[in-house]
This record gives sequence, structure tokens and C-alpha cells, in this order.
Amino acid sequence: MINIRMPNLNRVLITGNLVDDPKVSILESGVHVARMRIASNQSYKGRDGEWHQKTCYVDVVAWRRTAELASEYLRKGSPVLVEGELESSAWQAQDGSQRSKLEIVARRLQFLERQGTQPGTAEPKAAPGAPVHSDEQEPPPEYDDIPF
Amino acid sequence: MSFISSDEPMVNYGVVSGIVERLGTLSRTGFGGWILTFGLRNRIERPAGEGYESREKVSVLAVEAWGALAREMSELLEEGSSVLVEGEILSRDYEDRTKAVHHRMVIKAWNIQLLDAPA
Repeated sequence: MINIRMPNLNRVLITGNLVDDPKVSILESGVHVARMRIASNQSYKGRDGEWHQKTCYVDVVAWRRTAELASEYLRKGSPVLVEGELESSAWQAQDGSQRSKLEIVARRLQFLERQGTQPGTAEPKAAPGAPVHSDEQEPPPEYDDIPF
Repeated sequence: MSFISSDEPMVNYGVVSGIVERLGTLSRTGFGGWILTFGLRNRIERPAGEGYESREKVSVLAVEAWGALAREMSELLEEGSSVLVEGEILSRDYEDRTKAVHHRMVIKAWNIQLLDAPA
């Protein structure tokens, strides 16, 4: 009998609008990190026959070139498609309680804003709808590097 | 079954494999439906890049199964089961004892596939 290893799968695709401008920091190593929260809206017809809307708030972190492009082109309200991995982290709060957090580490961002829909904002150099970057081959640095 | 509609392109999809831990008991929601919760221990192998060695990252993801899926999985899942979970991300806000509001994300499973070989 062949002994097959369990596949390691972790892939998420989600669209949404930025709740706020990306928060960008630069590590001592020069690596850019962008943190964002997106609101993903979904309308559904419930058992009562009425249409309802639910909003899912998702934390997203982007590294390196993806972070630079996010800070350059994304603003509060920007629609975006995020492709990445779910990642959890755990820490101890000041009161001693254990806390944990789940976020998406973005591997690829796609700007969904149509050109000219927001006069006065910088137009992406990439074509609308095109993926702006892929960090597929670059792993994020160790968490010890992160100053937050 | 609910029907989804939107004027804008809308995607919320995830697929994650892992080991079941902190398996809850089948319980009723406030609306009378069934719910089963568990943690999914996922291991990602990050490939080596320029200046980086390959390494592993382990995450524990909160998963919820609802309705018929919850009932079926309560019969099949055990602590340590290997599963593939397909679903969507939901967010929840809750207050702690100090009334501080916290935000958490969970995966609402649409489909759960057992990866363990049958005995």
C-alpha cells in the first residue's frame, strides 16, 4: 500500500473594499509591510424571503513589493481582490490573557477600480483588472523582525 | 439554501487542509440550527527564496460547520482527523470582560472532506 502524505493547502480568495488607507511600515531590513482591513459585502436571501446584507471584515498583510504597490495605489474605499494564505498568530496580552489573531498574508493583489471612477487619484500603471504583483516565491521574514 | 446576489464582483472562497483539534460538541444556535466548531491545525511550507531558507508556519484556524454538515461531521470527525475544508471567511466582533471589542475571523465550511485512509 502506498503511503501518501496529506496535502498542505491554504489558499483564500476574497474581494472587498479597504476600510482605511493601508498602514505601511518599513522594517530595519528595508522590507515594506502594509496592513489593511477590507470589508467584504454579500447580499443573500434568507429563510424569511427577505434580502439581507452581511459584511465580513478581514485583516490583510502584504510584504515587500506587494506592500509598496498597495500603499501607492490603494486608498480607503478601493475595491481589491486579495489572494493569499490564512495565518494565525498568538501572543500574551498585558493582562496575562492569551490572544490570537487570524489574517490573510497577501500573495497577490488585483485592483478592481475602473479607470476614472475616482478623479484626482493616481491611476495604477498596471492595466485595470490586472494582477499588480505576485510575491509567490518570497516568504515573509521571521516574525521576530516585525515591530508590532 | 440561500441565494446570493450583488451588483459588484464578489468572491469569498478558501480551501485549507489540516488536523482537527479542539473539536466542539454539536450544539444548537440561537435560531435553532445545528453548529459544530473546531480548530484546524494547518502547516504551510514556505519555499526557499533569495536569501531565505525554507521554513514551516503552523496556524490554528477556527472552523464552523452549520446545519446538515455539522450533524454529519459530528459523527465522523475526531481529534486528530486530517481534513480538507472548503468554505468562506466570516468575521465576528465580541466584547471581553473589560468591554473591549475584539475582532475574530472564522471559516464557515461549505464542504469538509476527510483525508484519513479508512481503517
